[in-house]
Amino acid sequence: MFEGREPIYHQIAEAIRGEILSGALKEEDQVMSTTQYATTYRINPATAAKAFAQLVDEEVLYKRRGVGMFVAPGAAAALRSQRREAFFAERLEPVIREAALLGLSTSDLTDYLASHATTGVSTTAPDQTPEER
Amino acid sequence: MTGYRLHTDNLTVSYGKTTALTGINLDLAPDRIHGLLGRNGAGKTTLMSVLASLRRGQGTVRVEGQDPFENEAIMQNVCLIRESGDLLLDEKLTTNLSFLEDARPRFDRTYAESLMATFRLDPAKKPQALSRGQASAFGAIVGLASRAPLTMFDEVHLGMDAPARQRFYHEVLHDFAEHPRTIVLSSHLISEIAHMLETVTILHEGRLLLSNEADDLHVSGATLTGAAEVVDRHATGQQVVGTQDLGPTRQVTVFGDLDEAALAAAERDGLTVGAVPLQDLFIHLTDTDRAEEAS
Amino acid sequence: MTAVTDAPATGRSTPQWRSALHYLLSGYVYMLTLWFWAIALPVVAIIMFIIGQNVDEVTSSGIAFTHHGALWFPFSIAIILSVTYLPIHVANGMTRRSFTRAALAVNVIVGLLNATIATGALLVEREIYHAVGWVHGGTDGSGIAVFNGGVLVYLLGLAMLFIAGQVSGSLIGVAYYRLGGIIGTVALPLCLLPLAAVGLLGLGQGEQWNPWSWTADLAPWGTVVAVLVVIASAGAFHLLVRDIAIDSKD
Repeated sequence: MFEGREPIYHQIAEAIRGEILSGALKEEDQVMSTTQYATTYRINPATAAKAFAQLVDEEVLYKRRGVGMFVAPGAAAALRSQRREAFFAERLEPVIREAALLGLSTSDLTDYLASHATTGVSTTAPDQTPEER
Repeated sequence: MTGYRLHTDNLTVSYGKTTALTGINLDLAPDRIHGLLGRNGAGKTTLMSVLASLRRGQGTVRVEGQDPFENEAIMQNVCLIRESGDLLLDEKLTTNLSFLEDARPRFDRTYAESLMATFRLDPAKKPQALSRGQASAFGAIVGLASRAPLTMFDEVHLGMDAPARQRFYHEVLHDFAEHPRTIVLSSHLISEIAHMLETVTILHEGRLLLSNEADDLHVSGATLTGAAEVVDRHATGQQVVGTQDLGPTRQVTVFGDLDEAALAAAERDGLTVGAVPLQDLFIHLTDTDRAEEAS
Repeated sequence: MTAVTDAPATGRSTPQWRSALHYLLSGYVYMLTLWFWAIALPVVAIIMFIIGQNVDEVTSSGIAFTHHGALWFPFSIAIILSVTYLPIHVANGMTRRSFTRAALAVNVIVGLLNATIATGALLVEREIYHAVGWVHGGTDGSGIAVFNGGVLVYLLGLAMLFIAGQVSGSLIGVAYYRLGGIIGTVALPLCLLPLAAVGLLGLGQGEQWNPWSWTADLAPWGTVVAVLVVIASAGAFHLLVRDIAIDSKD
């Protein structure tokens, strides 16, 4: 846990976003309190609070006074559309660069994608496919 | 806000001819968990002793804006837990708790007793009958239940076994969240406490090496791993604090005001750019023998 | 959960020296004082009973022998308080000043307490001696009555001696803690000054102080000097304690 180079609170926020995208946290679900989060992951409560504050700012979470933090309605969809925008630039770009270094042609890539998509849906690819409809 | 703010200005402490601390300028904000790190003999215990009014130094020391030495209002609210215990040795633990209840204005007896149950300590036992782990646990209990606006733990959990340490960390975080106060944690088990800390202060050979936000420190370090010549090419211009070779693969640790664009370029060139765990950073910065060897 | 049991944040109502005094008296001194007398009095009674079986007429007080114990036992406790209780006191957030106050208050209270119990026991003993026809004399066997100089003077003299003994003990303890073994030992004679002053000067009225008749009347103003020495020693104790460094290893 928390092995990345980004500040810990970024990593926590990212982990919660991931849980929302995967469906582990659903809209209107209550998320752990700062204290619970801090003691569970053995991190400073202020760090956890910072992550939550960031997610509230992004309207991924919202606060119910005296009760706790909840996943905002539409959070998953909003995150997904953000991710889609970023996907090509942040994820695919490096792959294409790497492919170029390795001398793979565009058709090699499209061939692979075409064949992988048919097998992938039924067997692997657990990340994003289930809720993609 | 209940925690105390700490400030030292040009603090120097000597024991006879040996100087334990030299010119320490330190500011620690209230209501946070601060890490105080240093190798043996770096001066951590001395610094905490001065803050706890166990001894006096030259220079300025301010706890919540006041000189703590012989200041009844401050001293009663400053709790330093040392491995030595500072307990009434020939009195039962429960009598010790009563003594502390008198000494510490915010002492929570109910909480102390629930912690005694958590750590499975028999209140009828006397301190000298405790094992090292139990003695450490009792120290932790005293520090937690005192709820002192400044609470310092000096290697207190070293004697505990791993499960007891987990319980200790859990209690510190939980009670800190419920009752914010200024906590200073000093430990050699850095990897275990790294993410609990909001700030990190490192003492080295009696001097202040750094005192930073933990987040800032975290992003100030990076490891570059890959083929030696590629690594070297990308490491030039950055402050290298450590180098390790494993066959043709080299890992350098860079630290300081890092050039993120350069790191991204390194990644594009096939290097693995990783985070530097606090413990590794600490080792790189304070392992003087190795640093001298390298230079 | 724990938020409900939040302790009052307003601080203490009792000053630190009072809570320290309370602890020292209840946990330490009453117990030790009462234990001491609970052992000493029956032992004296048994010894005197055995002597009475074998001797026609006893001419010296048995109780007076307990003065040695009532002097040196609290003396050693005072040393222990300086050496072991002082660091615990300060490390648990209490000021050195409050320790000095509490320790000196303990010295006075325990001195008075022991002197009162000893004098009371002597009074009872005197009645028994008179009843069985013995002479209630000092321990030197000179036949001079224990209370020759008056009961109250005896009580005060005894209290002074016991208090001086404890002040000496407090000083010795703190001198060793602060200055270390070698200098502490060198300073021993200085630390024993209160005891010496009271023993040699303050109790110099040979006639009323039969138990220690060897303390010759060195000076007519002896008592005043002795009291001043005890007060000065209490001052020295304060000076040694007030900025003492509590051990830490690093």
